Amino acid sequence: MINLTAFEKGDCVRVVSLGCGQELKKRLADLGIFAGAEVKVCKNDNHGPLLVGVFNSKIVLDREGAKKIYGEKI
Amino acid sequence: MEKKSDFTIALVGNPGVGKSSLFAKLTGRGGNIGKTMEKREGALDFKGRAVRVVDLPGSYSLNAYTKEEGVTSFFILSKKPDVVVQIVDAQNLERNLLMTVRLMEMDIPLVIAINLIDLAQDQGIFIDIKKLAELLGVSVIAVNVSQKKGIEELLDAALQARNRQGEKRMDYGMEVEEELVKIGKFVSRDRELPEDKILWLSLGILEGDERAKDFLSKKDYFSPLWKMRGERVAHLEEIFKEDLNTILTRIRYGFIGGLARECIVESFVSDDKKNISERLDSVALDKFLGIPLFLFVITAVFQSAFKLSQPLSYFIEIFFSVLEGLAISFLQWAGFSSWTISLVTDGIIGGAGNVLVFVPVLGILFALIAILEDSGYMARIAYVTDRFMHKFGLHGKAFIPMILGFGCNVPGVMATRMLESKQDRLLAILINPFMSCGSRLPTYILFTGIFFPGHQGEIILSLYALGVLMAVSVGFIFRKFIFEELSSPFVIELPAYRFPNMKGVIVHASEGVGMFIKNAGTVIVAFSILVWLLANMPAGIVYGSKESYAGIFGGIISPLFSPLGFGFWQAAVALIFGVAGKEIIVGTFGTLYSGGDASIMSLSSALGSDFTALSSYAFMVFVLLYTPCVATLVTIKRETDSWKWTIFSATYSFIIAYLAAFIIYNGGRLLGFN
Repeated sequence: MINLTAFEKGDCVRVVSLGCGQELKKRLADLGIFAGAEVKVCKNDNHGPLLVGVFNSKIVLDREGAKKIYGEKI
Repeated sequence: MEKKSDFTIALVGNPGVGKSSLFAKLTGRGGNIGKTMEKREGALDFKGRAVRVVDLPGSYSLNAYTKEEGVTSFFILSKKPDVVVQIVDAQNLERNLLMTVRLMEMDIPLVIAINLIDLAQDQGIFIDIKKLAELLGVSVIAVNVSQKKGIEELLDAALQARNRQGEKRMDYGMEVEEELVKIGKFVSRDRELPEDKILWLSLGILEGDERAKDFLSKKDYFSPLWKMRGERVAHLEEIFKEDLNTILTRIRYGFIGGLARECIVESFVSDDKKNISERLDSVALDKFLGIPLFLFVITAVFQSAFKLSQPLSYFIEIFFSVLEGLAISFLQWAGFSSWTISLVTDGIIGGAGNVLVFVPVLGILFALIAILEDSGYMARIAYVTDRFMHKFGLHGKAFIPMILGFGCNVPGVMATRMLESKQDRLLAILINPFMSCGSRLPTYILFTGIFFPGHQGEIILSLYALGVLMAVSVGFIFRKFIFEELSSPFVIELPAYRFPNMKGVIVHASEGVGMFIKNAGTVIVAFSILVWLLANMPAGIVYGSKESYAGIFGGIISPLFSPLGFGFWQAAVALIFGVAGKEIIVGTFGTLYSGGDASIMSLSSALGSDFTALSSYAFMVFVLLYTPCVATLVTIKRETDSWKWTIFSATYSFIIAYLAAFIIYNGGRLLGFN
């Protein structure tokens, strides 16, 4: 499965699963990132954090976190 | 007139929706810029009723992960406000409604205030408010907080809101609802439980919410309940082939998506307006330009604080020398003894006056930090600094409390609440005092003015940089030897850029300065008098001489500082009193050295004979790093809830300061500096 860090700027991604603990899962869910959600990768510089568009907001996710989010391109 | 009654409105909402501005508009109390860390209270009169308004910290949900979010749910559940007003950002209705759905399960009177509608419309998002109210079964009021529109309607709706008992709430679908009924039946056999809490408790238990667990953990039926819950969760996960959390989240967002489809009309707009934030971010977050821009912004903040404040400081200095002259003539005319005259001029004016000179620089610094926060750039700093911070075992988000620490370490330490894990928080708290706060600035300005004329800016910047470097290095060492690895990944929302609310910025800066002045008027005056007394006793000695109590007391401690280049008693006394507040250091020098003339000029010449350029730099480094002031220590105690860590913080920073000053002084001498 592909994690978020493998997608490029502009990719729309459907989140398939989250490989992180319950705590972070709940926090991400509050921000709109959960299995089934559609997100947009707005910035991925191959280093440093990712910028992800969720609903009408921009979320910064560090690489460790982004590696735990698996998805497929739509 | 209607009889006065006590009525409490609690304000909740996601961060950055204008909650604190609404609070300021309602109560007339200065709006905090940025995140509200603790609940704040205010009052207003509305149509003859006394209304209490409680502003709760912004949060994304009612589950408590961070300490600041815990405050919100705890208040709603335990303090039972008469009505909860949720402020919703029209630009991001769906995510905001997640909290609405959860609030509707809490069985409390609820009113929704939709703010920032104009910004949403600019993006082509139109909300059918009537329909939303109908579908949710709660009053929904359109407000425009910055233009003060809709606030009266909001208050009307809030005062009329009734308990939602038995009213609409979200339907979780047959399978989940069945389980809720089962758990509900189980707990409602307990007659002690308030009926209106049953639904919230059933859901909380099903979800494994810590607060719901706490609520019931003492009950004798808790373990069979928890066992049953485990079976029910397993049953649901079997049906849905997913973990419970994902199931519930999907159901909720599914429901919200449905609401949004019914209530939001999107129309096409040209991308111009949308793009301002994105265009700014293409520079601010750029992998090559981001860091230089950040360094430029920070340097500009400090340089302009010093440069802009100089004329004002000069003015205040003149004011105090005139005041002193007037005081002397007046007191002599009134026939007071020379003893009293010395107390007023050397003790009070010498102590407090020298500190108040720094009000302009602090005010400007506070205002500029508030602008960074309010404009939305602060969150970008977290993004930009993340890579650098990761090398030290911290994340970018931990940089925000550090920047706030430049103003004052008390809000800096409090802002660490935004960090999710306890360990990250503790680590960020321990390193925050190394961030050079505004109260240390007077010492730098005084000493660099004497020993480094023409290079003041560079020297002061080097101290700030040393503080940051020390903070991240110590953080790295702690991470290696005391704490585990970086535990929680970091997530932060980037707010859209906006033009800072200048009124709010001014209010924020004047609140900070007000505190400083109040401090100067009370604590510093008290300490100045104490120092003056110690410097003037026992009777018959020369004021401020080595034979005074202050001299004897300082003389005992001063050998400790000899290896650092400032082993004379005045410095020892200043440093000891400086723990009460770092600005007192300059005040103490002012009192001890003044001998009849409290102006900065005489202080300069006196210090110039005791210090050298090198020892003054070692002294400034020591002041930068040593034991945090009492106010910060008290905050550390409150935030860590541990005396052990508070004492640790007080002592390890002293040791580090001592080592750093020792290396600088002796290393500098070896290199031939003086």
